Amino acid sequence: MKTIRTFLSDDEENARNLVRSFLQAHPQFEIVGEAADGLSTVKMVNDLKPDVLFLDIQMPRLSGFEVLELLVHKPFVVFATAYDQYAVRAFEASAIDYLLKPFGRERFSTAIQKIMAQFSDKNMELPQQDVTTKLAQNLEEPLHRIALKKGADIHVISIDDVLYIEADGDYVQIHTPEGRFLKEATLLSYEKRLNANQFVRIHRSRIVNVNFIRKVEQMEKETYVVLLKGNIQIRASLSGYRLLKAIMNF
Amino acid sequence: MKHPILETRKYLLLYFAVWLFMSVIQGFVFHTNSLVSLANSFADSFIFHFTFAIYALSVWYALVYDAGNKKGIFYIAFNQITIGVIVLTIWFLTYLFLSELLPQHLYKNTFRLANYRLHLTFGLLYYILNLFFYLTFRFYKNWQEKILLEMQLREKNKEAELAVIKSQINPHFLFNSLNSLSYLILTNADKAHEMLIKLSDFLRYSISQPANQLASLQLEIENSKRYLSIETIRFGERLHFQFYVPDECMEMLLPTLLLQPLYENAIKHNLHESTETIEIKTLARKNGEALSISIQNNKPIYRTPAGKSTGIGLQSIQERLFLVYGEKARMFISNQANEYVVHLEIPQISFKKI
Repeated sequence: MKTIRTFLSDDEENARNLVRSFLQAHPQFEIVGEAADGLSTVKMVNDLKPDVLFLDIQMPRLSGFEVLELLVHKPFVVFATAYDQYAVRAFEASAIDYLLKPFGRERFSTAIQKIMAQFSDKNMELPQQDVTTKLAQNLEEPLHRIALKKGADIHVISIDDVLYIEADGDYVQIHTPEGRFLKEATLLSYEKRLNANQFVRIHRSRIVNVNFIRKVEQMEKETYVVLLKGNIQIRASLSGYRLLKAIMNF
Repeated sequence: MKHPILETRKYLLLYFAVWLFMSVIQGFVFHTNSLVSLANSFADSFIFHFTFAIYALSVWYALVYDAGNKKGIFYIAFNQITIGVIVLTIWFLTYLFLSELLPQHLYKNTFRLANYRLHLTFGLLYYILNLFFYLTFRFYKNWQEKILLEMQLREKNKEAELAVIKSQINPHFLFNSLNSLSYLILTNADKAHEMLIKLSDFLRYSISQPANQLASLQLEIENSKRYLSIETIRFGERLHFQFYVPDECMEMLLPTLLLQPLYENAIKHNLHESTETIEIKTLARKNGEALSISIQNNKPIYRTPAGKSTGIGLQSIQERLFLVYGEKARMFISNQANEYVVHLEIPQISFKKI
């Protein structure tokens, strides 16, 4: 019987201990590490590459959701939260299982059964879970900051520092004064979570932060150019221009 | 208010049916008491009653739109009498004018002259009955509306009370504590018992406080200590707290749960959003006639940018202080690199203690 390598992530020691004690009834699960904050979780999970991750949502440094966005190695995730209406709604909309704290042994066992059911008999490898996209599409919590990866470094920037966001296939480019960052996400998922009075969708593939706008010019018929601080020019569509006009009142 | 008769077709028909009935009866009476033919009698009665019926409908509006100013009964009576005189005059003139159109001049004239006094008396009687009917109707409607309003207010009140209770319980704190508790129950029954009692006492104190009552510093400090020791069970060595409160301050008063957001904030910013330890110090002293209290904590060296702080906690404290003490209470915030201090000056005015 192959072991299922498990990682525990929760900022409360008691919470981690509880999961550890519940797991004793399921000897197949081997705990290979634990962390008390989001940043350590990302580092250690990428290093240790566990099969299963018990992930708390409210954590210091990076939230459970942000951890998920930044993980290279993606294990099977079991979410936990004490009280978070946005998270719970997003989970339900994405048909993802989650545990509400406090949870009992039975409820925990149900989650374990789900994990076991994911095993394929042949190679005993857990398939990669791509929950990130599912969740990102359904999360509606207002966004205050974005967790970004550049090489081995993790940057967390305030949303107010974002110049504009541009769609790029299945990804988006997040443009900041420090440079641009690639994220696996849809423009729509950002549009849902950003303040519509500050972040305006000026084009099918662009959302701009109005606080950085210096000038808006019309080039040819139906082509508009938005000039940002730092001499950055981005094109806007006609409907985008109209939207901008309405919101900025010019 | 809607016109009781005009706005409902059913009642309008009923209204005119009644007046038709009245005019038929009067027609008979006039016919049997005079030389006038039945047809003419009916025609006269019909004109008399129906013109009145129509004008009488307008009296409702005069009554309802007068309802606004409470200028005393004489004003209202004067108004109503004036309106009555005007309506009756217009009506009677209309009646006279229309009855000119009846054939058989001679009989009509004699008949009319002889009975104008009777007609006017009847007119006045009808008018008063009409007024009375409208008054009764309006009174009844007002009464109904009052009852409905009372019911709605009671509902709203209940909702508001519930909202206050909900806002006094921090669900994150509650469920996370219960989670911690669930672990302790399995491993350390004594500690679990202790935590359960503390949690229960804390919750009881939190939800049993009416909004802007005052409590003694002693009770408030006890509750804050409960809260902090529960958080200590959750975070262990990462949380340290001290209280420096001299005896003479214990009986001084402050709004219930005023300090709670300050402790919650300190823990949120230092324990939830960073991985470092925190020390929370509470100092109180008597400052003349006021209670001087400050809560200070160290700040984490590394803070993740743009956490979800909205400043609501501090704002609510400001608002409550203003509500209870007006300008006399003061709040100072010192936000330095290593340390965060909130200082409150709370005057001691004579309020009833809970």
